Amino acid sequence: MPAAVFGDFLAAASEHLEAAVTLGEEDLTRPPAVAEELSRLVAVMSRYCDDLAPCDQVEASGRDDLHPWERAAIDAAGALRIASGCVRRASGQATADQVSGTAVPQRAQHLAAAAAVLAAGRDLLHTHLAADPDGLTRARSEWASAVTSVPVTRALVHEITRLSLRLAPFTAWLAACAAAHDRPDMPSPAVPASVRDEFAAASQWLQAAGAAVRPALDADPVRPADAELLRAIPAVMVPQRRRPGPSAESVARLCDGITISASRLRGAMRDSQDRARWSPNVTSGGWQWMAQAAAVTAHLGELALRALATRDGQLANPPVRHAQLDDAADLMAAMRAAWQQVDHVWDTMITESRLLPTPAMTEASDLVLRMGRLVWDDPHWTPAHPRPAPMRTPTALAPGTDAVTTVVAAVHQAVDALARTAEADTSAVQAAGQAGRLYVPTRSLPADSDVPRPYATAPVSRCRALEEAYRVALNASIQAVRALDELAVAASAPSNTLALARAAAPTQSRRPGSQPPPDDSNPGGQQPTANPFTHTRAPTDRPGPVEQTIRQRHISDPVMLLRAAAIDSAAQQLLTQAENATPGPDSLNTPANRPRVAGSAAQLAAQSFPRDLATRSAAGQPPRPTRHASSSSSRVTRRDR
Amino acid sequence: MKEVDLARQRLLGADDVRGLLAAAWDAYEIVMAVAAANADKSAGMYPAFTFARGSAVSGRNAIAFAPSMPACYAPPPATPAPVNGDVHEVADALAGLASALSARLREAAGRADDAGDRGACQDAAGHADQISKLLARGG
Repeated sequence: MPAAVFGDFLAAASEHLEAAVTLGEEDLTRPPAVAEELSRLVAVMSRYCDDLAPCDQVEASGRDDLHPWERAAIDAAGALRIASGCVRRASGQATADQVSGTAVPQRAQHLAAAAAVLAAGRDLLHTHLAADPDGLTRARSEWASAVTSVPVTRALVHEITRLSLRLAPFTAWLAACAAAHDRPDMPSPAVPASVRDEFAAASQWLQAAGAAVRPALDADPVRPADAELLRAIPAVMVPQRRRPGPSAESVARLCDGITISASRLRGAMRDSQDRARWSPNVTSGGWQWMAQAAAVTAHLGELALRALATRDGQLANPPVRHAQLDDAADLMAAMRAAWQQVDHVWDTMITESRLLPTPAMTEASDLVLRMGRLVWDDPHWTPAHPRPAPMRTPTALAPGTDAVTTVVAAVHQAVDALARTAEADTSAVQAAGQAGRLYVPTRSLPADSDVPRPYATAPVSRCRALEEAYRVALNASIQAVRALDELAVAASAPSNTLALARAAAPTQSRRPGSQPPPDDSNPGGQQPTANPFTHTRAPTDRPGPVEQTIRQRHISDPVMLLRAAAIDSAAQQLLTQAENATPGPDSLNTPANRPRVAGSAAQLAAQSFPRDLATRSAAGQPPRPTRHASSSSSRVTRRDR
Repeated sequence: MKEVDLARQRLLGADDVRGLLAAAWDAYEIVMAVAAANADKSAGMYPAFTFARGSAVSGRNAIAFAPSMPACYAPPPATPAPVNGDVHEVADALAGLASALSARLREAAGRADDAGDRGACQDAAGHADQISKLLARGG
């Protein structure tokens, strides 16, 4: 059974949402019956965008370093949050007797299902990231850097806002339904007028969320590969081991097994750097054996690619050309030589504990066995001195174009796992050297070394030589895997998502809790998870004065409304800060402070938020725009122009 | 394959644990060098020679921890002369040497006074068995 990928959840959510908004010619839906489920769905969508927004709109308005899609995520998050609040209030205003006793409408069921699968999809994405004790986001898988990449951000914001745009007319229709139920001739209990208003507002905000991506789409359109990558993101789940058994396996099954072993090997390599500092299970023997397994796997991969290359002139439509396969095979040969060098450097270095089997060795062993059985025409092949088995003929290896693609994908998976191994082991041996866990034979040291034991702590120069050998192996592995990335993409192999993920990883989008890039000006190099600005609207979730003014002027441009909400929120933030900064009663009672208390800017501004009970007591004067708000406003105008 | 034969003779001629450990060390070094020199000569034999070399390193490292092993045992052996000939015959020769290694080390493990020596010899014998399995024809 294939592992679940994000695309499964997205597709299911889209399907349910479409069913909910396009269900047949039925009578007017009673809006309260679907409001609760709609509220849940919009809240989940809002959380998606919150995950992607590096800061809130207030902070964003003062920044000019945001990627267009980061800004889109921020704006969409703000709009969806407000829309969610509107629908939630509409739902809350439905009285119990209006919905009790009636069957849950199909629309509501579909909306509930859409919310559930979308929430599950978000959980899937979160399996790749974890917060450490300092509140910083840490990668939990090799997919983490793809999950936080700009291409995935692009695709995800686009998908969520696409759903938002589908919901906007539906929500407007719900507002119309509410209005119809408000008529005196309707037999059922009337729906309060406020429900209609909330749905209407929600529809506008859903539209605003959809509109928030327009500038980003213009500046940096979503590529088909972005969506493909997003859909291909799997959950962090290690597939169950499939032991190479005594019975013969077909080429397709061998390739499937190679994919499983590669995936398990990647899983086994996680966190190996930390373990290298202290774990007695991480040994020189283990590292050396892994280097040997990598060299052998590269060798077998090279043989497989050269066999595939001969099929170029024989198949009608070969998915990849002879030259491409040969080039990749050459890089595999270079990779083998580099790993062989690592193996040789280990001849004269050791850890305090010797060879202990590790999970990574088990997976690499399975990988070697299946790669060997793919290349050699012997279903029981092992690395041991072979029986006189010939190599599998190219025709037997790849009878058709599909089989060429399958074998390319298997080799790609194997080499990708080895490149991850190289990366992990390079860091791990460095950590082991720094922790003083590496030793060399005493006899290999200068004659004046007085060490009465067969092994002595490795000098720095020897540790460096080992690290350098690993770096060469890492570079060779990366070059080989990039060549296979190209092959996989050219052949549309199922493993091409590995290529897309690798291509996406270097362009990271900032997220709440994400670590800054190395050249970030933050000297500490760390950002706290907690975002100081978490809500675009005031805690009341009601329109602020600027938004109200815009609405009173019958302006319905969603982007302008979104900006207005941001300005209101900024003013609210300012108010809160001013409240917190207000000195205590004793210190207020000084000549210097006394005149300011009654007419402080904070209190004046607070009057603009009549629903905010915390500041209402000081009301009494007409609202007037704050300086902060007007400056933000001019910024909005410039940007919207 | 003169070096392989010589190493085998030294192993068979060692009459105490200390001498056997020194001869075993050299034998493992021979396996490492010959396997490395022959790995690239045959695509089919590459995996066997590569892993056999690794087992030789592990076996040598195991006896390095034997208390009776001289701390600063002899300088590293010179690179053996290239071993020419059929890679399968080379593999057979190394398998034979490994087999002798295993037998002598197990024997030493049985009569060593020091527990550390016994453990090291047993451990190293296991790696010699692995070399035999990898290189013996039809292994």
